[in-house]
Amino acid sequence: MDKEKPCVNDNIVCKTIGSEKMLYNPSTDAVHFLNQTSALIWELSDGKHTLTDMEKAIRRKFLVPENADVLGDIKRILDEFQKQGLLKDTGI
Amino acid sequence: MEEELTSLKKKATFCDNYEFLGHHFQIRSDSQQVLDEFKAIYRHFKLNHAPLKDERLTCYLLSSTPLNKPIIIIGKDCYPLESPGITLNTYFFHLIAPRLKEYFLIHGGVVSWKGKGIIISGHSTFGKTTLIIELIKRGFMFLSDEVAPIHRLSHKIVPFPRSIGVRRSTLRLFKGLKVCSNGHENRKYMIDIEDIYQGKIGTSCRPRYVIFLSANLDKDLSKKGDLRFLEIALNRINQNLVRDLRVINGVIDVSEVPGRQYPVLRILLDRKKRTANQLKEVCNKHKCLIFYSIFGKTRTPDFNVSPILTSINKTQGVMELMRMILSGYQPTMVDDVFDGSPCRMLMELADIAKDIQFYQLSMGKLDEMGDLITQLVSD
Repeated sequence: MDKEKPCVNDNIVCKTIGSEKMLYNPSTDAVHFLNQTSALIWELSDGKHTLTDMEKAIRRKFLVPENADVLGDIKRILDEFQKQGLLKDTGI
Repeated sequence: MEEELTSLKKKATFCDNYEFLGHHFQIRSDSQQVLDEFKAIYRHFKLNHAPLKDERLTCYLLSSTPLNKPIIIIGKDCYPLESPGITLNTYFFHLIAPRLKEYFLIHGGVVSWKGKGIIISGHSTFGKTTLIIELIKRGFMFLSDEVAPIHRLSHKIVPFPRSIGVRRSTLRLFKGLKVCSNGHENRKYMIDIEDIYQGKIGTSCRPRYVIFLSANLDKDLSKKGDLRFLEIALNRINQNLVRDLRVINGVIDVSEVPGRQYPVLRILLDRKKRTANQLKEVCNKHKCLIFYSIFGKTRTPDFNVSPILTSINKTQGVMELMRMILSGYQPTMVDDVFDGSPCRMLMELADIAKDIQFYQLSMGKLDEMGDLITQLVSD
């Protein structure tokens, strides 16, 4: 699973507002607010980055302690993206 | 009814033409005095020519009617003024606002500094106008006192230089001032900004700052466990309205707030229940116009303390802008413009908010508030 490369749903409208992102899903007519961590995961969900790549990027950017379960958090966030219809079905 | 309206309209022999945000209006009245007062307040919007009939909307401001109260007629709709605290002029803009769909209309004053727009929003007792005048004294340009019209395509604030409503205490600050209207407008005196500071009306500009005025930064008194207060200001209140509001699921109690300039209801709500749409529907059913709605009991600020300016994150700022638009001049905008989707409206506001910084300013001494804002825009 860690080698899969999630990819965003092309129909999602994304706007950056300050340090956060807003995602609008026209099919569900819902807006989702992403904090900085989720926003980075979203940016890296381009079909080119694995979960391991995402973990490295997050640890580097946010100076996360070694013992933090970053991979677990990434999976939970991507699960939520999937549930909300924000990823392509071939994502994870 | 239609015959009566036609007969009333025939008495409106006085007329002038105006343009508000690109829309043409012909204002007709049975009273030259009403027309003169309207002109005094909206003098910068008056046209010297009559637009073509197809390109204008005719509005009737009638002071003498069989109902023994003034009325406004727009199209086939007739709006009597129920409260002496509301004037034809205030009522008029609230009635035409929903037609101005190319704009987001935010309740607040607007000034600009070197082409950067600053929107200042707050409750009517918070001294917003006095602060606006203080900033103009310091070299800011005046765009509006009452409403910030942001064009939805260009994202620019368009000037709306209606006369400013000031209370007697503020009026005393300006000696020899020419007053447009003597205390008829919600117990305020109307003065034109050009009569205080000539050449200070600004031009269209992009909004760069939105400042929300607050009484203080104490804990939110609007919440009482699972309950919260909502105050709504209306053009009129009757017992049938109150009765129907009380039976909405989620409404615990409804009471009238005494001593206000216009009718205000305080509604105690169950925070867990969604009541906003039903509240609006009941008000619409009783043809009651909502001037504004605000959560929490309004507190009079203390103007003798030092003010505090704190930054707010953009997401929160955008949500607050949306709330202000929907609880102010454009309560039906989601349905009228965005096909019932508040999310689409939110995304459009987010586009505008990209370049805006949001702040909360807790009120205090006027000169210190002026200092904080001047420093903010100069940095």
